[in-house]
Amino acid sequence: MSLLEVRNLSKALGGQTVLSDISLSVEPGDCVAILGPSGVGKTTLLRCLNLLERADAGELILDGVSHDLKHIRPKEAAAIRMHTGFVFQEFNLFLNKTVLENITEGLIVARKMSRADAVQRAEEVLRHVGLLDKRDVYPVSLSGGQKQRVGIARALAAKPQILYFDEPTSALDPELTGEVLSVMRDLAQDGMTMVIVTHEISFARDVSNRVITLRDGRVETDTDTQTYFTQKGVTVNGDR
Amino acid sequence: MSERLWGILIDSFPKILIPGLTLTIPLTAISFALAMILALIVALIQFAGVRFLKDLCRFYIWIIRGTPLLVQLYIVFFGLPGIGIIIDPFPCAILVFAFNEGAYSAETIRAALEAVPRGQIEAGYCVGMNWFQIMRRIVIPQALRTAFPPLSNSLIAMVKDTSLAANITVAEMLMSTQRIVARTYEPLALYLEVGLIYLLFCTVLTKLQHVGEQRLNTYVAS
Repeated sequence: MSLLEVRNLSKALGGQTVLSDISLSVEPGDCVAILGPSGVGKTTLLRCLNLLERADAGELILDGVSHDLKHIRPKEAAAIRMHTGFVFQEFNLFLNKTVLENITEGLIVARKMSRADAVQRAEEVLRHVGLLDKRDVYPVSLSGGQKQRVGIARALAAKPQILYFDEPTSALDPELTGEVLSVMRDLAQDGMTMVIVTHEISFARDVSNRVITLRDGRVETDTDTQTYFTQKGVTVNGDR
Repeated sequence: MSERLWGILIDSFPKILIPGLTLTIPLTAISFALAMILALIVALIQFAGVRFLKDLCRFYIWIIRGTPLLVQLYIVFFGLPGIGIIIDPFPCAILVFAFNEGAYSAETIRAALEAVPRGQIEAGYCVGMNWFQIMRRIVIPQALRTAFPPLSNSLIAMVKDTSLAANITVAEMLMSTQRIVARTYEPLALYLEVGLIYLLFCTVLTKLQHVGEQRLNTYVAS
């Protein structure tokens, strides 16, 4: 059974159709790269999957439970997000919380974990992304790459079944993307289920096992990574 | 300056300062505290866009901002007894000041809430928090930092506005001074004196504002 299945998702923004009739599924352990030109709706799709945007139509089946995306209630959305983690392009670390608190906050407040357990778990994920020594600083004093690694640690902390990445390196200076991509590569190798919206073509080729491309708000291709890049005869020279 | 004038000034100093400590400061502190609670609620209702309540909040702000504070004091103190509602001067002043300041501060706080980046709220949802948890732990603390300087402004303004309570028989600093002036005929010296005491109070608040701002800035100073 698929871990995540989306059926006939549609979304319009400001009267203009962004996504129409999108269907896709994600198996446990998949690393799915969503590619396509800017403005094609990749980010909107990801945001709809995590209920940051309300889709106009569609069904989301997560872990065997079906949800009507159009009529989802806040409680139901919260329940879905208990199974997911989300990494933002702009990091969105809580500015008034230290690195450690950024991670423990959700665990303690939303997941009712004890403080001691939350701190232990936070230290574990911070070690994983190599930032344990930054536990007590505020996000403002981190570099972009460090911020994003904390963002990943925060998303990872609650042991989600699926991790969404919304262009995780697009807001970074080119020389800082490497550290973030390497953390993501490790996660993929550990078998984490991931859906990644990205422009990093070579990263997608190396790390993902499936590629979905969008065009005009529809799924253009949905295939395994090798097939995609072979068929395309791919020029990976254009990317950074 | 004549010896007589010095005598009057020294003699009157405690007579003005004591009502300042026992009336002006409590009146300001209680009214402002209530105003902050009211303002936060009114701001949050608008920020959340609660349908009917939001309109009610706009109506409240419209009425309060559109009428003079002194008129509001007169309506409640002199007007309401006409329909059988009699409130003592001091609680009446607290009530009017709190509701008046609540309307202005609600706008300050609303602006500060709206200045918190949208991504902070989305990140809160994504780690599983609900709206109230996000407000309490993420958005309000950040908004407080933005709102703190203008709210300090309002607090300082309110210290001085409490002198209007003299008009509804609250014997605060200004009224105490007026009484001494009536007895001694030294308006210039005495009104300067009371002005200086107000300045003293406000100087203390200005210092406190500075300390408060530094505390709230811990997470932005790298």
